[in-house]
Amino acid sequence: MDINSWLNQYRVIAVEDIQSPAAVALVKFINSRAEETANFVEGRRNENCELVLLEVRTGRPQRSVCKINHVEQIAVRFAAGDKMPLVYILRADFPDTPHQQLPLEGTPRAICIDDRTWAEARLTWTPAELIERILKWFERAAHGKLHDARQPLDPLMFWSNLKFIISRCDLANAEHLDLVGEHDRQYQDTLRVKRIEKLSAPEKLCSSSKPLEPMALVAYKVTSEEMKRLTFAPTNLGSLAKMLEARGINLFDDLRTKFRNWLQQAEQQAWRINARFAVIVEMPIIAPDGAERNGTDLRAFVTKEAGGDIAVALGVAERASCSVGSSVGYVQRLNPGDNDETAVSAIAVQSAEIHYEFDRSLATLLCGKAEPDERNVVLVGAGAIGSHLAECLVREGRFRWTIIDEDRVLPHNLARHTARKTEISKAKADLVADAVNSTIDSETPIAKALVANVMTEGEWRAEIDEALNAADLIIDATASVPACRYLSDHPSKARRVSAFFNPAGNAGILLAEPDDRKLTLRDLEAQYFALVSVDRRLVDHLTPSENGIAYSGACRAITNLIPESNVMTLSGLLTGALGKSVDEGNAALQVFSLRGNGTVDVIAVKPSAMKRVNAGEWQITIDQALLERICTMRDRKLPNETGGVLTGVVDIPAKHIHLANAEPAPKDSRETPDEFVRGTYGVRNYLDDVFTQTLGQVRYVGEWHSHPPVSDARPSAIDLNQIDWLSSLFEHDNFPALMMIVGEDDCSITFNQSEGVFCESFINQKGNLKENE
Amino acid sequence: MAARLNFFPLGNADTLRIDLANGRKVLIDYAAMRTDGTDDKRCDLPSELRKDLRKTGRDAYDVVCITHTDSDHCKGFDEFFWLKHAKKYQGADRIKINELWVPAAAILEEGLVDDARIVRSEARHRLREGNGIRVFSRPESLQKWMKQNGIDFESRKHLIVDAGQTVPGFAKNGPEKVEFFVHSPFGWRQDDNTVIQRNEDSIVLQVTFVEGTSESRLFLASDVNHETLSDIVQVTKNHDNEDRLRWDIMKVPHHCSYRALGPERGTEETNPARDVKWLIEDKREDKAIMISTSDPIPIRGSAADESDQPPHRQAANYYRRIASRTGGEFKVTMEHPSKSRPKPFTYEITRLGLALKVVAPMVSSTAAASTPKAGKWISIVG
Repeated sequence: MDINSWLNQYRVIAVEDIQSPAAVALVKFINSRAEETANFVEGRRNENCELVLLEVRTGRPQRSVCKINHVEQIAVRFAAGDKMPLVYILRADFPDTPHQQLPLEGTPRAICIDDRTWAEARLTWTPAELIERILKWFERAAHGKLHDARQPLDPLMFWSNLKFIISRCDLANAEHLDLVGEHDRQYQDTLRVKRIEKLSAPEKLCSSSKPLEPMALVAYKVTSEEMKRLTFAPTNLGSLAKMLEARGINLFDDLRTKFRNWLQQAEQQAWRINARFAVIVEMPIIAPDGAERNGTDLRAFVTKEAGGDIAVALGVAERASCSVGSSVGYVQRLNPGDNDETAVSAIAVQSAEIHYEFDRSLATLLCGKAEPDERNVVLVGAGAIGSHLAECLVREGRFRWTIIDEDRVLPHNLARHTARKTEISKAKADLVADAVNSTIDSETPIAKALVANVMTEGEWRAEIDEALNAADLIIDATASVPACRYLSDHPSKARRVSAFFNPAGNAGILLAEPDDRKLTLRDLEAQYFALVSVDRRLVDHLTPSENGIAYSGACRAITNLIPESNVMTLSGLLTGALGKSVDEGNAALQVFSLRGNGTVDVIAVKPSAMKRVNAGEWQITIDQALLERICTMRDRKLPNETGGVLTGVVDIPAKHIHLANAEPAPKDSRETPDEFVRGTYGVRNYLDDVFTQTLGQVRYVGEWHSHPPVSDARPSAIDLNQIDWLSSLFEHDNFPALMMIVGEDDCSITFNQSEGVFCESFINQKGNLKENE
Repeated sequence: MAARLNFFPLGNADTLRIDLANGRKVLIDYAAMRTDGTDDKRCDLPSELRKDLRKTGRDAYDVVCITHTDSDHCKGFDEFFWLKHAKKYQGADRIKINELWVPAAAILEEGLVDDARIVRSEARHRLREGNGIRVFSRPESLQKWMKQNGIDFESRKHLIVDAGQTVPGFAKNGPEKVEFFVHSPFGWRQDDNTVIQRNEDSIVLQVTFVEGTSESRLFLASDVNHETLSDIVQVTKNHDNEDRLRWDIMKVPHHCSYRALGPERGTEETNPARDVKWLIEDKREDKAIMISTSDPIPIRGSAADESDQPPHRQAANYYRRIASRTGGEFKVTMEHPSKSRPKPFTYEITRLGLALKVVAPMVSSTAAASTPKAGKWISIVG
């Protein structure tokens, strides 16, 4: 690198002749205020740019990590128009460090001092900030604190800021695919490469908005062993070949073979030999010290010439003429000649950054996850929650999807669904599956839809069962208690999670089964209702908003007034919690409540282990936490007996009761060592309150009381009288009476149903409930 | 926090402020040289020092070391510091000295005037009080004077630091991460000389800083000449203490006088005496820095170049040549960043050695050091 010959492209100008306002400001700043940082040397100019040459005091320590002098000469280049100033180091042997731009051949090293775009940086650009950034760069370089080993291209030095977008799998098979480049007409700086067969019919007609041109790509991969850090960016095919040769790839030999093959097939694939030609190189990122860094550097080198012209320069083809005719314009040379070095060097290559299409790998990487999540998921419900959950989760690159919903979009759905106006009357499941598939680039679609009710007994039953049985995870987003319980009971072995909103739409709830399914969605739902009945923070949690609105004349066609902002916020919170929960495998019960001032209250309960007691056809469940509370209440009142009312969640068709809470004794109760008579003070209010707060899900289910010291939990004669009284009470409610007794070491549940009294005791070793098998 | 060495453009005069790793501050000499003349390019030292103290919320120096009592090392001492020995030096805005370091000569010498006399009074007062002082000397040389003045020697002995020792209270493995090794004044000079030669009996220190696992060394040679430097080299070699002569940064002695290098000035470059040459060329670390606390180096043939007064162009040429050999620096306090507008500058002790602190002046940092008042910006002075 000859610094002087580069500098001599710019002529020296007097200070007064510097024109760029930013350059003038810089010189003025250095001369009048910042002499201690740098000395102004001279100004220079060519037709496009002005240079300000400075001697900068680098402040490097004695034992600088890289060889930086205490004074370095730099040139700050100000290009015509409003562009980012670039900082060159005017020393041929200035060391390679991280955070340098990849220079063109014959250009001095340029340091990256700003990772913002100029559009952003110019808003606050001052000469002081420029100098500060230069000094900080030197400081970090000297102390070994520059880490970014990537080598961006200087955008001003290249023809344009070309972006090249391609699907990862298309790139891998580029040589065998028919590809076209789709130009962005307005800016001409984006080239999206697609397979011809994947284009829709109208796209193939080359619509006027997006001109298409054929692209012939060859791709190479430099191995870690062969990789050496780039020292310059190739500007023509000749220097590109040299760069690749030094990294173990013989470009010309390979191209000669490829072009010969293409020429032989030219009659069928004329486009290929006439297409614009691009070489794509994938290289591991190497730091200046030779260490390999995470990530790969992917670059396209695009020619303006057609492949045929390159074949001619490589000596394997001739242009068609009157003597050697060809419908494709080129013919293969029978006696291949040598490379025409001059012609090869005359073929300019434009270096372009490559962007992969958004595929599962990229999505996974960008959301900060290490491993792609390809689990089979059945999403049941593609409404407000389901559509938003899918929207979030797919952008994290997650899942292979089956989406089940029978609903179709009505206009009012647009208030809180990801659907658009043009999609009204379409099936929600189809819409969400389409959204997933049109987000993630994949060889085969990653989502399919089943437009059916998940509980149907109709024609879709078999297919739905198949999907549920094949699933690794079932997400219930139906917002329906029966559907949730149906999914809980389905024979599929998949883990279930459920996400829903409260009726007012200001809270979101996540229920997640543990990996081993020792707790089911049913259990978690019961624990959720129990939580609502006892946790004061959830007062009004289930109260419907009063401002429902009829979206049609039908009496049940009521929808709540819930703004999309709530749906988005809560869906985001639920997706985050859901993702974490399905990654970790633990059970979860979380409630996110939006407060009017923008805060979110989070209640995260660790779901309790459950004891299941089977009583005839009925099953009663009680969780560890409640059992411990009951034992504590007994201990506090010893040697007296104590007791109170029991509440629970009742599912009559499923013959299931989950105990939600046991209240302490009302204050007018009689508590003695021999006897407990439950009072009535406040009982009515409490039970009404619980019923209202839980929309009738949690209700009075019976009584509990304790037995004195050294007594077990077997019901006494008086107790059996009580169960008789209770069962007559519950007769017209269609469910059995329940009495729970806590003794010294055990508990019992006594249960009266049509077949007679049923009593089950279970061991309670100081509250250590054995988990139900 | 990394330790910092702060140099000030004061003409031919010394002041070095050392900010230690734990925030303690040591001032080596104090010479407020600036007169009110508008063309005086020397900095307003009291104002610079006050600005720094205010920034760090301090009103005292942990140590003030007067290497010897020549005016270019203690000018303005009586106006800036809060002194214990007399009420008239105890105004509220004066800066306190927790520990005053002086050579024995500053106590023993008679016939002093001006600031030198005030330094002596303060040093004598503190020695009499028995705290806030370190005297650099062979203890015995003070014994006679103390007896004459009715001061108990035994109970003050610990305040006296002899050459070849490190100053108590500072350790490389302490929070201050620094050690001061005393080269001068040393005993046999004091024994041989009945007449005090102030320059040659001044305090010479090697200061070792620790940052991370690496050490950086500062050599402070006050105003000694080549003979004293040679003596220091010989004595140190005799004690197998050669490491105590290594340096990464040196305040070159006596404002870049040729006499600190050798007996002859030379025409283009001073030829250093053998031991001085060894100290400067062999004991310097890679890319070491030399600071000349002086006026700009005279241009050949100028009046200053003809003058006997330092700085001497020939000495500077020698230092420059040595500095440039391995990418080191030779810096003149009145030339940085330019002769027309010299400014204070700072070196930082990093784990990779000394580094010049270069900061782009920002409007915000200027504003932070100023108080807006009465609708316009007035910069803080004093």
